[in-house]
Amino acid sequence: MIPVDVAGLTKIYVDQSRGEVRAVDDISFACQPGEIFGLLGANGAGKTTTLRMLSTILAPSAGRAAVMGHDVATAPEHVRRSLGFYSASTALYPRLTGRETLEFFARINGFPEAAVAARVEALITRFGIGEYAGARVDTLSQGMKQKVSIARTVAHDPPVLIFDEPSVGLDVLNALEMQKVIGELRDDGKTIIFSTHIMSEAERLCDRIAIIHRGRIHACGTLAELRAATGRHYLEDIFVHYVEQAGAAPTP
Amino acid sequence: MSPLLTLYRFEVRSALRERSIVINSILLPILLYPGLMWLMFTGISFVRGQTDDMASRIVVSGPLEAHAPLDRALRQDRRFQIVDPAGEDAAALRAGALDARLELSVHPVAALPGNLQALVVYDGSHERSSAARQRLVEVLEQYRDLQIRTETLARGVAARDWAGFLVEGRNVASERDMGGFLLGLMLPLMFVVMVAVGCFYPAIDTTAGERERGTWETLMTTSASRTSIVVAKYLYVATFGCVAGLLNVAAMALTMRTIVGQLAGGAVALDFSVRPEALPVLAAGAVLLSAFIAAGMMVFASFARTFREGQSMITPFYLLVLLPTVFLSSRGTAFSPALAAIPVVNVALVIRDALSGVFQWPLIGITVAVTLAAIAGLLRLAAAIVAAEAVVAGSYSGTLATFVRGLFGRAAPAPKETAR
Amino acid sequence: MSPATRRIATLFTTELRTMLRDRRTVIMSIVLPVVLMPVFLFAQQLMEERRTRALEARAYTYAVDGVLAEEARPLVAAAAVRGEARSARFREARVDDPGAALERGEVDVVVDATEARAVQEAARHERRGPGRPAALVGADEWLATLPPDLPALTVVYRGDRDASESAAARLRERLGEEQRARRLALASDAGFGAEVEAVLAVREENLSGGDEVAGLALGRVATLLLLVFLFTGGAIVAQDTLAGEKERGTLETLLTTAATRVEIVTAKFLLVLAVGVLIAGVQVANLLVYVGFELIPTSAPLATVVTPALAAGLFLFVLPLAALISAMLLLVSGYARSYREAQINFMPMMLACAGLALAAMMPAVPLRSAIVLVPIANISVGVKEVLVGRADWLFLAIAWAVTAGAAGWTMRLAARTLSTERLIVPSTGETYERPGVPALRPERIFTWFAVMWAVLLLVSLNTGPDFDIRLQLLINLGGIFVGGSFLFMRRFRLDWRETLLLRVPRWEVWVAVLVGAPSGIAVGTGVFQLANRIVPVPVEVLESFGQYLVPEGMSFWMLLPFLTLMPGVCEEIAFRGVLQQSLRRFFRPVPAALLVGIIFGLFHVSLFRLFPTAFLGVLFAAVTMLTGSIYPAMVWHALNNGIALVTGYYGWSLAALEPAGYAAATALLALSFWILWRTRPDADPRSPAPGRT
Repeated sequence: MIPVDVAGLTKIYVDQSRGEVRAVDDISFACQPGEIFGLLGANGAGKTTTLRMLSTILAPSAGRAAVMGHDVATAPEHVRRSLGFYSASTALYPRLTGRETLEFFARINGFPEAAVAARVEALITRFGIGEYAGARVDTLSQGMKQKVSIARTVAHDPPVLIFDEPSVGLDVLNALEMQKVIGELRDDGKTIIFSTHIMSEAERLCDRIAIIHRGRIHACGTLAELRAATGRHYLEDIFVHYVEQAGAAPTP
Repeated sequence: MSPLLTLYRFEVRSALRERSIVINSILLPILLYPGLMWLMFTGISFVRGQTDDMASRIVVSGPLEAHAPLDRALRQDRRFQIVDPAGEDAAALRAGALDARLELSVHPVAALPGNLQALVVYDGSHERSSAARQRLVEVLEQYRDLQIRTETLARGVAARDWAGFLVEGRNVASERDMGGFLLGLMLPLMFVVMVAVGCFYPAIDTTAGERERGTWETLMTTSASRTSIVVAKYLYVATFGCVAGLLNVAAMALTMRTIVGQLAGGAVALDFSVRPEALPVLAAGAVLLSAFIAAGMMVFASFARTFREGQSMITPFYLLVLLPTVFLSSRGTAFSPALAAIPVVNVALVIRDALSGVFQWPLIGITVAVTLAAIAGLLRLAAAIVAAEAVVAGSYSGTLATFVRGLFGRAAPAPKETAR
Repeated sequence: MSPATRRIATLFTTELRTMLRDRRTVIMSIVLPVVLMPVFLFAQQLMEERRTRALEARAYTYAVDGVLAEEARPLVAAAAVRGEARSARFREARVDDPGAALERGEVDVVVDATEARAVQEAARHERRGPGRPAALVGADEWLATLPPDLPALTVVYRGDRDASESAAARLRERLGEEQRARRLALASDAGFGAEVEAVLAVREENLSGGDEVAGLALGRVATLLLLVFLFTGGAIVAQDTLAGEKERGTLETLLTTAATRVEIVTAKFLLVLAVGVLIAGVQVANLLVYVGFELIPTSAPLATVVTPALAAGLFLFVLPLAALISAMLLLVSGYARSYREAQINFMPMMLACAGLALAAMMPAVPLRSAIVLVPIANISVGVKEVLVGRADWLFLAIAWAVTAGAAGWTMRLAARTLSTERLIVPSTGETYERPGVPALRPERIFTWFAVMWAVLLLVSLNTGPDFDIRLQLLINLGGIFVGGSFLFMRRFRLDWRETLLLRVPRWEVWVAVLVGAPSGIAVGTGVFQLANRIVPVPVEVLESFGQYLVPEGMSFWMLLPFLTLMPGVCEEIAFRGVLQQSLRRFFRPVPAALLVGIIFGLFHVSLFRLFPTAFLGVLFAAVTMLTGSIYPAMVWHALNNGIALVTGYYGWSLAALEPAGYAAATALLALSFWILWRTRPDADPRSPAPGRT
């Protein structure tokens, strides 16, 4: 089964002064099990909207998307149970402790009740939250919050993980930590969709990269494939190449 | 342009674009009175329509034929609707289908030929029934007076002696006096509330709100001095309180005029125009009150880091300001030196008296002095707060209480440092 | 436990836990109200007691003035000492100028002793208003027969001084007592002493017990109090739980979990309900304590009125009310994009609901009436009837079901806010504002019309009845409606042709208008009479309409254009033009038409005209929507006013129509709308309307 299958996904906003705005325009891609799929694009390219549609926060205007075989439009609960969503805007409950947070998210996502306690302990050990697990989230440092946040994303052990610009607002060390964790999660066999506008991150982490600009995917492939297609070495140059190509074409 | 003025204009302009501030400081005072008054007026005329204009359905039994005046009184009065007895009167009364039953019978004591006794049966758990009873008793008493008078005069008492004297009442307070008096009962209270409401949101928005939006730091890095920033913010908060208070007076005076007159059914002529000599006092009162409340609210709000926190920090002060106004709603409260020493209450009382045309200058002097002293105290505290690095930088996580304790050195101002 | 129940339980316990950890919320929503209520109550009580005692213990001074002063002085002195043992004392002050002394506050009242002549004269000239009952038992005739030189004592006081007013009331009461004592003495001298007491002795019998009366007193306010407790108790939690989560960013986290939106809203609803009920319970218990300590006076012991079984029954009965309020709070919170927005919308909602809860105060509205279909109001009336001891089981059940249904429906709306993308994801779907032009949003439309309403009210309140009606109409219609409308279009840069729908309709439409206008009036009158059953109109109000519409000294025919054409054009521009076209961007046709109707009704500034004018408003809105043009509504409106005025002028009453007449009118109105429907511009072009070639 293809973990994430997206075909013709479109999101249209109707705006009073600009008319129809196509935030996401006919996007299609598929992720293979155990790979990190990168969505690379500038701010406002449509990355977040795509991922929000995948996580059923937003409803697609057209097209189809399925996570672990569940369609986002018809079986949103099943979709959400099969994925963990992490972004800079998904905050933690400030007045819960780290441990309570993990228990809450494991339970709410339908992790077997009997196994919750063991799962939470395992997560605490795995992410090194240990001594802070009993402290309220609002008293934790930025780095520690980030660890709890990732732990809560995988609390119910979902097969698919979505990281929407996870390194936004993190310092270098925390960003590197984040990359390490994402790599480890892939090694555990998770399918990961990862969006970023930072080239080095995409270069280092992604198995396959989709370049998204103005709501459309302009290229999709492994880094080697993209290099071969454009004749450029650095991802930055490859990105600029496609964006310029798109800019030359008439805008939809 | 001086940086203070620039800052002030900047604050006011951005506030006018903020919905909650515009609603609370400008729209609420203007719209509240017309709205509430309209509701009150229609509500009252509605209930009046239900009781006054609703005829009382009564059943009358007994020898009424010999008592023509009473018979006429009951039949001609629009307020009564005599219905035929249905046998089950008591049940009808209980069910509310009938309002009262009047049973007349011959009294065993024949004080007069055909002397009657009356029994009024009603059901006190129905409002209409209680009203019917009251109307019946009134008519019966009038008839009783008539009978006694007729009998006494027939026995030779001179009409002049019986009449004795007439009693009337006359209110010599002018329409404006009465209007001022009624306005004075409600207005000071609403005035305090409105100034407080007007200050409330700006005070939070300009301190905690700025921190939340992250613009606080931007402002602190400008070349304007810290004092001018704080003073500009303070002036801006006070301005909004003052505007809210004055708009409220205007809207109230405009609305009260006709509505209350109509409610009184034209019996009392009232003039709700604010007398001109009260205007300077009103303006000064608005300034003093808003200066005090703004200072207090800013001091309380300055420790908040989010809007919500600001709200809960200010609320105690807000309630503290409103609490004494309970005493204002009692109309017997006389303005005394003791009351002149209580901030907020004193200003409210000065305003109340001014609306009635009373100016007690010594007490007004005390009021001004006390309020100014209170403002000075609060500003002094504000200065201390502004001087504290931690508070200005937004890393202080204590409240006003911890800060004040720290100020007096009983405990070091050591807020728990957030784990970073 | 099913997975859904399990998720709801998990959500609920977590929400509860986080709420309890927010110390400020707990203090603000529970501790503060509980502590403050007694303080406020007690302070109020104390002040009132002090005032009464002060007025009671005071020694009042009076002066006697007037031509008969010397004659009246002993009389007043004798009256003044009456009841001295019970309460306040009176003392005469000899002053040179009693009027000035009263003005200066040196004396509390002045007794002006004159001859009865003046009083008789005044009574003769006094015109009796419709509200004043006629004294039919001869009191007025008796006054006219009295000798004109009889002393008349006028108690002169100043109504703006507490002491003066209180002194006047007491002195008049004592003068009355003196009068009665003197008459009794006279009667007994004439050999008619002991029997006087027996003349027309009146006894009263109250069929209801003391507890029923106490129940009535309690029932009138119980629901209102409860409502306020529920609102204030639940508000802080409700605002925190949806709007607050949006602000903190945790809502998005929650939406990516396996919990469905309905589950999330259900858990939050249960939380708000639990907290609201808990706090209301604490407050009620708190209140009962003061009743127990007699801080609040009651006529009968509450324990005899409210037995534990009754209390339990009432609790079950008001549960839908609590549910409805919780759902509404949640809806407002869900609709808001931030904590602050939720707060702004809270107050108006509470006021509106409190208005409905006042239904119990209406004396002649039983639950067995149309009120049973109005949520909140039906609970309010039901609680009163239960407390009075008249439980109408069938209608209590209907009321319960109606309010519970309203709660369920509100819950569904609240759940829908979580699917409204504009509300959950702040960064997308945001309306982009053109530089310098504010975007048109429903709340801005409402605010604009609220301000117009306030201006209209203020203007009409401050122009007296002698104000020229033509000028007033010019200000209201030309100034406020048209001026406000054009300012609105300018501010939001609306295309005025498009907004005002200046299009020529098809000719069939005019037939429909000609048929519809008269039948619409008849149907409207029927609606008015139906409304009259729910909201009875006082006779006075009806009379005042006639006076207002046709002022004296003005030709009716000259006035007619001012009352027909002008409202037709101006009001249609404002309501069916600007208001309706703006609302149509955000609402579907039916809600938009209803909103236009209600706002149009509110602009007629009288509760009694609300129903009929709202009915007309909806009618006109439908006409405009069906024809896509504003002209038919304008003509219909003018015709409507014209017909109403002319029939009123000739005294023809439509209210006298037979039921069959109303049925015929309804049929004609239906015909008119059928024509409009068939000829509507967006109708299927392949099936042309009848009569069209």
